[in-house]
Amino acid sequence: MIRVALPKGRLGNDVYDRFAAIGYSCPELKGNSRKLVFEDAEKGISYILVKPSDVAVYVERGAADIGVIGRDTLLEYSPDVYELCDLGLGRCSIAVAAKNGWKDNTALPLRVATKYPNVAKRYYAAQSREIDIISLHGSIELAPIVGLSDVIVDIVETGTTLKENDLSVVTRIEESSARLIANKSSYMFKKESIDAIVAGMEAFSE
Amino acid sequence: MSGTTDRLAWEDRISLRLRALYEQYGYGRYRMGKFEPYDMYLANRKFLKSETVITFTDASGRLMALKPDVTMSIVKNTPDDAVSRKLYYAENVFRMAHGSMEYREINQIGIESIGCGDIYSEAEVLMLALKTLEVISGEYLLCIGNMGFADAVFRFCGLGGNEYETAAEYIRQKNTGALAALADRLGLDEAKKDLLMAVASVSAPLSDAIRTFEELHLPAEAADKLSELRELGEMLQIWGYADKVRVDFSIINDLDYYNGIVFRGFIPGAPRAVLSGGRYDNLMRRFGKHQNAVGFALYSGELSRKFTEEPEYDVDMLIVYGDAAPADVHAAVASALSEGKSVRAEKYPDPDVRAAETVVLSKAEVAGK
Repeated sequence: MIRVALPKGRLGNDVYDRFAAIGYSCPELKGNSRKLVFEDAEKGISYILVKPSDVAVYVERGAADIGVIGRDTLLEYSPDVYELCDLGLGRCSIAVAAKNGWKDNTALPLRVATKYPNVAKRYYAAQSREIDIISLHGSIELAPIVGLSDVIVDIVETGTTLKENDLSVVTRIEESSARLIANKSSYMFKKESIDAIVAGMEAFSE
Repeated sequence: MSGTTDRLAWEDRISLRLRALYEQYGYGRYRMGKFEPYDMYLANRKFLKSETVITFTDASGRLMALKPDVTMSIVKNTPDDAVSRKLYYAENVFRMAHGSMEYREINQIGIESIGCGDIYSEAEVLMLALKTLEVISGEYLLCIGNMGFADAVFRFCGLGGNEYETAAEYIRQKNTGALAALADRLGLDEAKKDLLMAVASVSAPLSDAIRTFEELHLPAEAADKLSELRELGEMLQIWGYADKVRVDFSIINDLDYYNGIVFRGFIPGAPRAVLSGGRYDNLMRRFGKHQNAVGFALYSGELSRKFTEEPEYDVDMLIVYGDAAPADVHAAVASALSEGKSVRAEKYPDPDVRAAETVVLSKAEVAGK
């Protein structure tokens, strides 16, 4: 039995469709139930739905054998897991964005609002730029508008939210997409089943 | 399950069995104090699993550290004229837990084999690692890699500086996609790229893995390391452990510490490797020692949660004595003990004590009720 941690929400639905397409369907999951665990004993697979940022925790600690997670989250938390393949879903960039026309004042530390403090710290340390990290959990775009920060470090998909709020991308730091990750111990003991899923995913992408 | 001898905690039972195992193969116990001067750890910070150690000042103003590691102390303690040392230890170490910012006290049991580092002594350590895993669980796997092999392949592919570390990181993550992209960016030819990809993706029994690499174009140094692996494999075959061993380079570690074979033991249900070891001649040189060394440590603490069964009863017999005379209580306790039972004597009945059997000598009202 392989237990898969899926991120709740739109990405999770797309990822589940991909699993179903390569033969690991579990129709119950598509219903509007409030269940959190779904199992198809015949196909030897079970799914759990968790908060996207928690997928890495479930997999790293072995509560799930494999999981799907954005590269942005992997970069932020650096979990000790295998990163087996790129599903090509949920593509986005991690970028620095600011109000249109913003200019960096290097006389002061840069105030950076973000959900990705580790990614931001690493990026600015490499630039030798002193920063003041402001950790937020949502609506990051609001921070520069109300003067809470100078810039934001956040994921950008289409850029529509930025445009509507009079913001624009200053630099793209990293590219992200959904990755299939595996617990290191689970991989050792369930290698054949996990390899079969990876092969199915890779064949689908090609 | 009854009687007091079975009441040892899982960790203690395992520890006793492992110590007997190591002593059977002539390994002697190495005991050490809880703390040592901090300067040794400061000078060798990067060899520690986590760089932070707990420090305090002793009466003379010297900065001391609670030991985060045992191997380093054994290395430092090795006399220059020692031909061979075979030691085991069972100690608690203090280090930062993975992924958290808190210190933990971790029970660590391990062996170190210091000497010439020939094939037999290396194979013996691998065999003891396998036997160690066998003591803990019926199902287990030992993954082996070779730092020298990986290093030779990396240098053959012209990886240096940042790219060397990046490639090692991709191999640790089994991230073949990113590694292929790196190989393409560096313009590696097909033969080199195939070799690099094989190192990243291999996770197979020794004989299969060796066959895979034999079919590829190997640099001379890597071919040497491969024949070393083959010889180790032959020994493990003799001992009957060939099917419990898998070649997997995702366990490659710090090159400043390990140089030859590296290995990690896995048990189903334990999310991380429970045993970790390898050949650490580099660490020996760092301390000015000329001998070679190979060893491993088992982190049994992480396992006790998995194996500890909640006992059905706290005690075999509960004696409620109420107003009975002390001498009569003693007689009842002594009689239970003589039958090999564990016994707890209480004046009043206590619903929190789970006993297999309760004997009431005399009833008394609980005071204040």
